[in-house]
Amino acid sequence: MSQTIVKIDGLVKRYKELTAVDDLSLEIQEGEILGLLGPNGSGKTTTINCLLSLLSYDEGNIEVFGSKMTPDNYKAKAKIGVISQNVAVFDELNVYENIDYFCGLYIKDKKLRRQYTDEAIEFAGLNDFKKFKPKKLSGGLLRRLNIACGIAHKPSLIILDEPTVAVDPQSRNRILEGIEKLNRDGASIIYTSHYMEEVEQLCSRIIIMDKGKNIASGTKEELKKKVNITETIKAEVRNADEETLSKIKQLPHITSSEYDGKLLTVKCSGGKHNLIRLIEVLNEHELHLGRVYTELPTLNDVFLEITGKQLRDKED
Amino acid sequence: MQVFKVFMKIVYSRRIVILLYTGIFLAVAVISTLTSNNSVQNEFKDTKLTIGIIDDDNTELSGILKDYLGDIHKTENIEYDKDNMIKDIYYQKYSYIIRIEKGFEQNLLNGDTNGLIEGFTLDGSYYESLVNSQTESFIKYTSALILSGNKPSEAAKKAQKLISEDTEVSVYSENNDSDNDDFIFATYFKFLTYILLSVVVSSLCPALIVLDRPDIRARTNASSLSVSSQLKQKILGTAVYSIGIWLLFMAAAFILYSSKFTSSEGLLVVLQSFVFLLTIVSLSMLVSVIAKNQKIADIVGTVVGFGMSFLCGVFVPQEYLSEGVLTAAHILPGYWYVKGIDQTIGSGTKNIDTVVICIVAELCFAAVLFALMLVISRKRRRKIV
Repeated sequence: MSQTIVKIDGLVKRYKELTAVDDLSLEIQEGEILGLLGPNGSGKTTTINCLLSLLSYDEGNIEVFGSKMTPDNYKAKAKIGVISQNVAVFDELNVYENIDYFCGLYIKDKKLRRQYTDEAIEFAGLNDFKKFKPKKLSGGLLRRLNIACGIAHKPSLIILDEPTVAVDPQSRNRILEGIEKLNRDGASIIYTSHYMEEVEQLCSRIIIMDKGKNIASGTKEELKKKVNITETIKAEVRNADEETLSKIKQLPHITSSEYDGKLLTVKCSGGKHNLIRLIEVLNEHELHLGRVYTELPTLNDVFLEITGKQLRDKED
Repeated sequence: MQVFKVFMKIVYSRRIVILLYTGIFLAVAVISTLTSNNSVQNEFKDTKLTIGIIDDDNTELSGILKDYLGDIHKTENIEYDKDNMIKDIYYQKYSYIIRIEKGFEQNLLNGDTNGLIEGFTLDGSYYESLVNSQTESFIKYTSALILSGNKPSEAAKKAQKLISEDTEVSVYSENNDSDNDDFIFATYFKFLTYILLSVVVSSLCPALIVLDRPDIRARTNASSLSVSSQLKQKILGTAVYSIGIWLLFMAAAFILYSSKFTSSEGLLVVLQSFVFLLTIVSLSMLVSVIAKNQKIADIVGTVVGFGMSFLCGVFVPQEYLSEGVLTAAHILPGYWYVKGIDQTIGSGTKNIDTVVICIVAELCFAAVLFALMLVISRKRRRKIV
């Protein structure tokens, strides 16, 4: 049975009038990748900072590796690696010196530190850039250096706070592959992001946050089941009139339809043959069809649906 | 010792600035020491002029006058030619031209001392009064000696001898208590105000600013290195660097002014410079907390360095500064440091009580600046959090 390595219970963090984290509870099991998904300002980074005891909090309790997390719980901190949203490295030091410095904050033994630093450089693919100062590195390489600095000491729990912000697709893929490798090597990971596809690709369990609250959690499959959409049909159609659109809306299992003059987007909940019925209606009205394709629900749909409902609830 | 090591690496990255400041300062100190023997006029020497003499009388007495003038100046016999004379004076071939009028000897024997010679020089030149007074003395002495019964040639020679007797002249300085070595030694330590401030601020601030960058601090605080250990290493780095720089300047002072350095006054000045170093370190820490980046820290360092040096009597002695400036300078630590040095070894009146007051004032500045740094630092951390 896997062990709970992080347990957050009823966390509340307020900045004067603003409640940044509102009664948040979560658990992280050993070996899992937990995704904290939410838009900017949803409380992800604040939660991480409270977890690391970089921030004090107003209510709740945080336990890491079975002990209460406090600023001087250095035993727990020694097992944690942090990769912050901003690239936190020294411009004055080169790549090797930077990794060596951050590794040295945890590892006292020089020989072991040298070995770990070399391994981190290898892991991040920075072998050719050891002597480079950060200012000479591209955005993607900088992100990789940032990650290498956070994982060099081989932590059991790695916290990555939006590590792929402003990174090109190639570097992003490399970073995501690296994170999967770290997980395969035994590290538990907390991954915060507002990129749905990254969280969907990486995380075994996901917590969706909005306005400091845990609004949904589970595996991606569990989350997708929570939404009322089974598929989204998109069809390129020209000159669809109001009558056609009205007929489409009246079809069974159609929850919504949108038309922008070129693309018809139809969301369905359950049912079979939705696509066939839609094409029949379009043919009846002698409309020329371009490309037609269907999409399964994504976390984006989940998030939009869940946050949308909440907003409507409040408005009601 | 990761924090300490990175602290020193950042300081080391500023080595060119440090070397530049230190090198220039020490070079100036060495040059001023080597040339110090000529730097203060404490001896008097008669001025020798080049004088052209036109002797229209050509007598024994006029010859003795020429000999007399030849002894104290460089003289040349010339012919009367107005155009050439004007040219020679204009181009400074001669500082002065004397024309011994015809009838010089006869008039002198008759006791008539007026209009015996005519002088030519540039308008308003001080040579006129100098040479006139010398020739008039000769004429008056000779005339008096002839009247008292001496033979004309004897009288002229006696007059020449009397006038030529040198009076030993030494320059009396208002600051006669402090000799030239004291002056140079005090100047070296006064200039440390600017140089120490520049060197310490320009290298200490970057290290402190970088280590205090919110993202770096967050990452370091999230590690297993305790906050107290980080602080200790920062303090150690600050102390090692600033004391190292101070020792470098003290070593240079010891080599350049060893006898002064080891005197009781010298050691008191050294102590004052160390206390001033504490003030500078506190100031640097405060600047590093206030400044958002190194560029701003450099600007603040330069403005404070120059401002304090001008207002507190580093570049211009305090005795030449106006009352208003001195009153304003009271709020700057440099004022007390410079005053303390003046009171110990410089141009001021020696007063050990005042020196003690100056040292205490500097310590108070160091304490206040440090406390201010702590308050602002704590406030900013809260804001960031």
